[in-house]
Amino acid sequence: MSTLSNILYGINELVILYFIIVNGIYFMLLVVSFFHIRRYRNIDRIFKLKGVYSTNLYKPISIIAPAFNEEESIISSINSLLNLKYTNYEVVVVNDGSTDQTLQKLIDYYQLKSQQRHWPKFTDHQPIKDIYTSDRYPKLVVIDKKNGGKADALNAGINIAKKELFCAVDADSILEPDALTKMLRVFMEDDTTIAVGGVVRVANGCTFKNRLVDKAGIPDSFLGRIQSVEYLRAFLFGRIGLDYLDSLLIISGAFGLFDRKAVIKAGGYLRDTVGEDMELVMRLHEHYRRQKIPYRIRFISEPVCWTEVPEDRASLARQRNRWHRGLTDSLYRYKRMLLNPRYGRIGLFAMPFFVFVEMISPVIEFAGYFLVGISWWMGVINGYFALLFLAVALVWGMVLSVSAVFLEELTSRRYERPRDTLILAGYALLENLGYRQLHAWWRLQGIIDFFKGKKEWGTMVRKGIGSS
Amino acid sequence: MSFTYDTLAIQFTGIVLIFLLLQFTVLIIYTYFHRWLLNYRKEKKADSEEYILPLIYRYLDGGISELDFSDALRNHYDIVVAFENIDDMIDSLRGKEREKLKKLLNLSAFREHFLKKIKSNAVMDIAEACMYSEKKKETDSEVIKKLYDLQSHNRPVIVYAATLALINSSKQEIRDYALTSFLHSPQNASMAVNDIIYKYCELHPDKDQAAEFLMEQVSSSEIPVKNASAATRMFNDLNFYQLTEPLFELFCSPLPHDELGQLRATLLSVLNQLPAPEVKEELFRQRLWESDYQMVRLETARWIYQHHTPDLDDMLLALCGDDDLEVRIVAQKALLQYSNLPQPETHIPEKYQQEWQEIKKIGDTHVNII
Repeated sequence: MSTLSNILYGINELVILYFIIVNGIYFMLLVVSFFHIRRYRNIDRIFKLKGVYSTNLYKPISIIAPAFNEEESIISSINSLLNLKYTNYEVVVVNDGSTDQTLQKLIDYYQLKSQQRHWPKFTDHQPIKDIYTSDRYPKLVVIDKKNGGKADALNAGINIAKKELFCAVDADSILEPDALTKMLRVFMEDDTTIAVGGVVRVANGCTFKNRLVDKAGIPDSFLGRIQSVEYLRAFLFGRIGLDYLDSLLIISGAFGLFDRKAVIKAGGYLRDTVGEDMELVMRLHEHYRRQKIPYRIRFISEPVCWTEVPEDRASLARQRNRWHRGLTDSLYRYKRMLLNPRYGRIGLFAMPFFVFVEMISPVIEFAGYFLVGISWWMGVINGYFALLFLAVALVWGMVLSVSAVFLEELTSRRYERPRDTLILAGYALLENLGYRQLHAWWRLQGIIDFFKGKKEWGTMVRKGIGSS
Repeated sequence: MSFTYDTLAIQFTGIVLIFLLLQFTVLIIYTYFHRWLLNYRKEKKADSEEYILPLIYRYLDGGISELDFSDALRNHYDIVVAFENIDDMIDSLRGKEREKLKKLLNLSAFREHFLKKIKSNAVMDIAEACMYSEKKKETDSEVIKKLYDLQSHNRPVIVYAATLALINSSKQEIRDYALTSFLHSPQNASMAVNDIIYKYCELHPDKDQAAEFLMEQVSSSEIPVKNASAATRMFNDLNFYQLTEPLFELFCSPLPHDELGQLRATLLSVLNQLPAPEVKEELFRQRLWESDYQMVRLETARWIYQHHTPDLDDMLLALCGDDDLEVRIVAQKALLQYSNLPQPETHIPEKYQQEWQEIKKIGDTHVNII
């Protein structure tokens, strides 16, 4: 009995130590993000000055939008992509074997004609059936191919795209009209930049005009609001902090700008994963670090893309399960980089952070709940202490989430009504009471499913945004 | 658990709770205060807008003098709003009115306001001052000296803004010096270099002189290769056909500082668009199809694609078996399109046969992809 008590006591101390280290890192990221955002806010104001970086010599961009069964929103989505404030770009829509009327709607609306051209295969993908262009919309190229998943569709798009940079977007996401220009500034400041990510925000609850966000608002549902807080936290202090530390391992699949040659050299998107966005970024890191070529993968703190989030529990659970499977998969594939000095701060900081904090945190969290319960029952720790520890964990989580809302107010202030900001701050408190535990459970299932070899994407119930 | 642990835990919980409460309170106060402040500033600006615009029109109509206009500026908001409006109107107006309006930029109110800013440490203030100097076509030696200093600022956007202000100066020697200094800095991104060069040439009164000056710059081994390549790449956009000969001479020179072949590849790419058939001899002399650098071999393949003659077939066949996919594709396309060799597939290495079949299918439709 006393040996078991000692073991439990030791494990409890380890859980506490883990808690302190993890939250210490989060706190550090928060502080770093605060200063990084302040710095960026100044730069952003400078960019608004007339004449600064106002050039027609920006690099040309191909926007690649994979679409699968998007008949409801495809036309309005593509119209908004065709109306961005950027001079030299093309829109490559990849119909990934849709079984609905997606392709037909595109053909009819844009008066597409088959182009009968072939293409070099830099990256692997399912066979392309046809390529269409339009005389009326010269910027538009539509690829019709056999279904192969998002990564496969993006690879086909990369092969057909003609421009120096490509921007991977979800066909149902809404880009800010000046999103590309904002992202391009990063390339204008540093030649070694090979990829840039931007802030993705929750579109549910916003009002739209011509498929552009007219007024940013907060969603009506509990889950929608909680996710708004989550997105702010993930982007405004997670990724901004990691950007400052040059340790970014993920650029959201919903919106990212990449150097096409760099991606081709690294081998394109991996088709055999559900986390193709993170896997690509990790592969770029590995490729460039191995070749000892200077490079930067950056993130900008501006809202450049709006996306619809699931508001029903089942879809959300499936999405989070998939995200965590993707995360685990990517980290597992590149385990050789973990704590490997050859990969610099990616191996020594970013990988350990993602493995020991992001990936295994749900395991530790549930192990912690279980062990604290057992320890209390066996009298190894007293209940009073256990409750206090739980209280600290929850309240600290609230501090971090409220900080994310604070950062939003400091940066973009997209919510016109202060009331919305404060409601979100309220949800930042609520998030820790129940939702956080549920979320950890979905992520834990994601890890289990990964080891079971599950590769499905799962479906998401969408109401459609901005298409009216 | 010991008593000490409990006490510590209580204290820690208390601290975290107080922190959360404080944070929440600060968030509420900050959100409302910040919105109030923004609204206040907006109102002030709107008020200035209402006051300044009629004043500008009165000045343009001759109703008030420059001095009257200057005296009428009441506060910081008026100065900022007046400058913004004048700046916009200078862009939209033409003729006498525009010239008259430009005179206002020299008002001491503006000068003092922006002089203070350019000397500050705040990047936003510095950038604003740079943009003012750009508009004013700065010649004031004190400001020019400060702008030169800013060309080595640690923020690329400030370096860009300062250079833009300098190349807009009305004195040519200031422009030339600024461009040289900008091109000497290895930190500048190629897009920024392209943009500054484009604007420099646009503003230059004599295009031939501008071309000559730029050629001098790219030929200098003191300019980082990256910048020299970015500058060279602009020659086609700027239609500097008169540079064909000096560009070719530079291409023939050893270029010892071009360690990665970047400048040579760019020169070849620019010469590809110019009437320079003598490049062919250089391809042979420098054995460029065997270059260690992928970009040089790629540009060689592209050159052959554009200017194929039968005596280049051997070179083409060597490039068809290149290790690099991009190089192979261009070379194999050239082979497909121009070569009269019987059964060209016999010259393609076994491991690339399948690729060759694919390219045969592709034909000539997609070469610009690379």
